[in-house]
Amino acid sequence: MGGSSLERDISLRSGRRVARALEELGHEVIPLDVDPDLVRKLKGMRPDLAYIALHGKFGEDGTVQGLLDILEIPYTGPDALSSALGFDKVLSKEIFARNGISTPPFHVLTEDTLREMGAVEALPDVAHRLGFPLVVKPVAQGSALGVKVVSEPEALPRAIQSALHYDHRILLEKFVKGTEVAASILGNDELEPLPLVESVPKEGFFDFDSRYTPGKTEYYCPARLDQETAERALEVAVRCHLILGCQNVSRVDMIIDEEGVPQVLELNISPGMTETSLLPIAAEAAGMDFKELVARLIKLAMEKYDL
Amino acid sequence: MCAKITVDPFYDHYASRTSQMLSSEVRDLLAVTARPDIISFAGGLPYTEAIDPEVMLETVNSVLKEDCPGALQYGPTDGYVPLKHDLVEVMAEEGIPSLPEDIVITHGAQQGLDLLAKILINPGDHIIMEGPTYVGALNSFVSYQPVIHTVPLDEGGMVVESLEKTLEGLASRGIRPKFLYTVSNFQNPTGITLEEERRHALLSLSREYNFIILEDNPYGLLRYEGEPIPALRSLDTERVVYLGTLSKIFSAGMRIGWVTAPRPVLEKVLLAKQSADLCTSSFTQRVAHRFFRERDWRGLIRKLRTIYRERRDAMLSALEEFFPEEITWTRPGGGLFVWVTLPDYINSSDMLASALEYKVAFVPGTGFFPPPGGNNFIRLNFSYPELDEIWEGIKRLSKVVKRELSLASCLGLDVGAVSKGSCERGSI
Repeated sequence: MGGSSLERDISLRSGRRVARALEELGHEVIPLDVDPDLVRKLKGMRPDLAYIALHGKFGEDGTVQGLLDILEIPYTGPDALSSALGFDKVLSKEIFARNGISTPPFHVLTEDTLREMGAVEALPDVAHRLGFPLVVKPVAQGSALGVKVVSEPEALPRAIQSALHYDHRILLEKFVKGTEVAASILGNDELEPLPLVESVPKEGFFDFDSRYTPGKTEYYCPARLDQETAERALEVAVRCHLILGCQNVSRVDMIIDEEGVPQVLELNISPGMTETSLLPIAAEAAGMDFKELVARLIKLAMEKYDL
Repeated sequence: MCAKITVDPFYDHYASRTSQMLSSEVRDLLAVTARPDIISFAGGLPYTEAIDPEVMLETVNSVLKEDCPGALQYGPTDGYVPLKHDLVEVMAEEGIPSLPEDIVITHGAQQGLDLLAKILINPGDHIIMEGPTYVGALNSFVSYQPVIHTVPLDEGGMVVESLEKTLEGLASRGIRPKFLYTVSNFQNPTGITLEEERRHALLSLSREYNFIILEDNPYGLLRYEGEPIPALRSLDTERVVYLGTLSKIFSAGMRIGWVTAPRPVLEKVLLAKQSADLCTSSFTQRVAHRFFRERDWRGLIRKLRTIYRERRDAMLSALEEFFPEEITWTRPGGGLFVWVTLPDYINSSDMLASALEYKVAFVPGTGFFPPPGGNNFIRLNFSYPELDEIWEGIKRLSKVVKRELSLASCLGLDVGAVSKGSCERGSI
């Protein structure tokens, strides 16, 4: 948990909560704040299992997973490849689209294309194709950091500038109007989709503040959708989970558009575990309290490694 | 059946003022700055290493030997009288006249701010602050739901013409602001000091428009050059409420500040303090008194001045050396901070994310203004980092700033900029 990513604080909140639950479950827990000494510490303590509560870069992009593979330490959640694919919104969206899953149309720009190739001249074309409002986001970053909804051409360069602080690649995505839902999936061979959680921010969109300030977003679980639409959304989420080869857990964020089609935005491999996070909310609705959810994640990880 | 999920079961129970207290992106980013590999200009931390731990040990020991029961007991709400005598001397250093009975000791000047806001602000009342202003005062006042007017600063402090205009505008609507808040010396966050002439102008406006002046003076004794300017409180004890603190000249951890004010205001502060916490810690007040009675506290201030002056000079030379010419900054004659102005097309909150990649941190300007505002400013603290860290940190920060300027240029954001940066990475 912790680490040097921009989501350090959120990760510490998730990690501490999980650690408390693990202790209550009778496990011996050593909380590790990731720093340059991590490998030495891990080699010294040889844990039976690593619970990954890291968010953002290095925690969700396959880095720490790859490292644990080298050290032969079992860990919770998807493997390095699934993590790397999930964290990269461009790769995952491309893969989803090629598998017939709807995802909002998008274009990618990199800092290099802007610096070395004058990509700013291409912005009107992008804008024309996607229309306004459109969403600008860093390709690899969580918690909606650096995400801006842009409703007019004049505001586009600033939004791009802002997103480029969080990643050198940015995504310009068509803004899809509809119901924002998150589908959490648990399981290895047999998958259990948890009830959809619908998020309705009281103002603006589901940004960083709305995510982590209790009361700034209203959540409904299960989502306020008809059964057919909800089932379709869960089905899509399960397919996304399978296509990226995830194990244990994932959370698929999507928008159900006005035609009732689930448009997949992204897949998260290390879903937040804070008080306002969506996975624990979904588990609760499925009759699983936080401790049971943590116990389940541990059990799934053990199963994955035949422990 | 779909159910509305209540993340916080008591959400509907909270007072409306809590809606001002938000989880902030910037605060979460700043959580990263606690890591040892990051050079942080973000805190406002005084350099407490300047005091020898042995000296503190002896001081605490003698307090406990002499009057342990007293140190462990409740004390008078207005404060420990022997310490008040010391505070009179501290104020006298700056020529501020006072008597022990004119002082209420508070849990840091921060509590003084909160108590004053509590006794002065009704929801919807109008108050005036400097723009930018001290974030701790802003947050404290905001929770009492006033309408805040800001007056811009130039190198001489609050721009009086602008203040006059604000006052006239309010008066024409029949509104009298309750008070004006100013950090008169080496202001946090800009390091700017209010010129003497403007102090007189401010006092005459306060009489004309009948508002109180809250003078917050944590940095007055940390002057590194030039002649001291009389405090507003020493020019007028009738209209000026004064907040002092030992945080910057002795210890921030002791949490000792004070309010000295016209008698009726002081009575109200005392009542508010009684209901807030009964009294400031008897223990820390005795420790502080011991220190000020037995130790060379003036020598400590001289020592701090020397250390901080050196660090300020290092920061100013590093900025001169590394920063591009379109960036400007203040050259404070004291205090702990330098305030940097970036072109208005740069957003410093976003830039903080990049700066953390380069392992350097600062505070973005937005926190020092009532929202929205302050996007293109940053505050740098020079009192805490060591000299070599200051040089290296400013060097790193300059890379972030240059990257920022060239990126803005690529995106065509620098329209009208004095000197257009080159867009390519090679120019960094």
